[in-house]
Amino acid sequence: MAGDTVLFYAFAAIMVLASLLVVGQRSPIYSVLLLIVSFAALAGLYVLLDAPFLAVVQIIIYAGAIMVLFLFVVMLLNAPYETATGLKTGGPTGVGGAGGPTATDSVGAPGFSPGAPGPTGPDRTGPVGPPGFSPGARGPTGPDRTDSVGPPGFSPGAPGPTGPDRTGPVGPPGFSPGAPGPTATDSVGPPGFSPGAPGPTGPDRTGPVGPPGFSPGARGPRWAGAALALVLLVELAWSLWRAGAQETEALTGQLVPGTDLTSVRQIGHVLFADYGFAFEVTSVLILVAMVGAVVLAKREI
Amino acid sequence: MNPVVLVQLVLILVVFTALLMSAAVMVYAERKLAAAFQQRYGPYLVGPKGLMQPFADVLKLLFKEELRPKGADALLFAIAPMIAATAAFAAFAVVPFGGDTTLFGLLPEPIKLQVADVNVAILVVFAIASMSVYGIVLAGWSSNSKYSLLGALRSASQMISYELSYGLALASVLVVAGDLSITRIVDGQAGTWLGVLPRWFIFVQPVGFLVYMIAGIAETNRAPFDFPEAEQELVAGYHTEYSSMSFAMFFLAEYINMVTVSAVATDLFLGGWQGPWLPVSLGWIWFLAKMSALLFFYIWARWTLPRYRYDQLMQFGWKILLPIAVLNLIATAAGVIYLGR
Repeated sequence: MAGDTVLFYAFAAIMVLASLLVVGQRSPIYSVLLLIVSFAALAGLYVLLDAPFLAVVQIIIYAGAIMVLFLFVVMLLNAPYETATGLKTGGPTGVGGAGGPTATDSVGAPGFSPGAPGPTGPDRTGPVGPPGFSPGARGPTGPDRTDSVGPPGFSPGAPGPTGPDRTGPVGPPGFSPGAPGPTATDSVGPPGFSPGAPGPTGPDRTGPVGPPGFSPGARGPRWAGAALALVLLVELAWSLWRAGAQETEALTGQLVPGTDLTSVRQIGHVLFADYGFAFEVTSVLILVAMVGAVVLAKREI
Repeated sequence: MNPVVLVQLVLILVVFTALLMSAAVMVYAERKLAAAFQQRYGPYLVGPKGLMQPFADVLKLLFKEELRPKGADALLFAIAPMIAATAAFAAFAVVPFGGDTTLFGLLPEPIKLQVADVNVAILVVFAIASMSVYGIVLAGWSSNSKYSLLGALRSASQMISYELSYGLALASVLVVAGDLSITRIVDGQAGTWLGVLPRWFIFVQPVGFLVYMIAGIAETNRAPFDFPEAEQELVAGYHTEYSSMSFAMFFLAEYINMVTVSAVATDLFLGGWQGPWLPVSLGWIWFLAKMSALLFFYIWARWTLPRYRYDQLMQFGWKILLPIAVLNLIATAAGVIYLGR
């Protein structure tokens, strides 16, 4: 067998195996890591297909950027792992459990405002989280917390680093009700958009919290969003119609053997000359999705 | 055995050993320079002028007990330092460190002083740098310690934030050079302007170089951006719970990452192995000299500047450095279009 064939089977085997294990894994962390392995093997396959640029971009974007966010979410939301009988709080650290110092009342990726962690959280006498999440499964390092743990990941009423005894009621899981301690840093933006400004100046949040994304009274943005969605829809329909009117070969049938489509220059040329419109529309779509995610994650702006 | 393969294997071995040695040299240099900056002597007992100090350090680490916290995820705890060290070594594979040479006539054909000449080399460096964050994040998470987790979070968000500026600074060089292969980028910097000023890209891209170096320091988690191991707050950050050789691997990875960042900066901005007086076959001496200067700058910055606050770091990264990098890229592209290369 030629070297290429051996490599192909090796990469393909790794990829298939890793992908199967992603589904078969109990712990979500391992699933994410196996998915990264699978992506890396896919990059190897791209190299074998003489597309090194695609391989590297695959690693940078998927393995390097997107999966890091996946890993963050899984780690910090302390996703439960499955056992034969049900869900169990996962992770060795048990962020929810050991969360005294790390709790920042964050909804989005909490890692982006990790500033100002205080010393160990004080006694927390808050109520018990909803049943079914194995109360008491706190991380082994959780210091003074005498009560049980809320639902994993959402840390309802997460005590701020210096939060005093908290006895207030706890809302439904998932909305992280109320602001606990005086130092709770409520402002968690998307990665980096408002990353700073944690710390002791965060004021108490006492106002009622609406459902995610709908700040009461602000109707303007919603109409703008609807208009944008309409524009995108029209654009999509138009581009599909236009593509249908053209010869299909112009869109799909360009892979003539021997043409050097794999070089970066060629890809760039094709992308910006032939598919410029689709490229731009896609970027607008991603922008809209990003803004939507920000709005959903941040309850009040 | 095929001589080409043999030469390649020898080259890999040489680069690997050189990187290991560079870490040892860096440890010694760091301790000596730190001492000089602080009016101390630094290590001077082990060997002449304390030269054997790094090896004593390594031996000490080697004979320490390997500890693992209770409740740690055993597999990930063991894998994390390996990921960090592997990524650090792998990135150097595509970095050329000298021109074609026949090793003074030993070889029938000239070889490249580069392990793998990939035509998307810069992107490979970038990709491997973006993978190295996994070593840190997994180390922090699997340690089952809150300081480790916080250190890992800081490190990861810092690396992700500064990777953008880092990538944009690289991109502006690519626009000037019009190529992705590092070897050809270095070749494009041969010669001088007006017979005096070398045609290095640092003179075309001063802003790009500045952004690259700042982002590089943040990427390698070095002071003044060493938040992952801000000892006053986090003990030792993501490697708090590591001991013995696993800790040594993180240590190694940090120094090798510094070497790689400096080497890439040398190739992209400082003309690589181009320099006067020396023949091309000895160009690696120039390369080493320039790289050492950048590494000295690294150490200098660490022992001169105090650590920032974490929010300042993020503010700076997103609100100052990134816009500068974007504007620089746009200005560079406009310059290339309207003025030519």
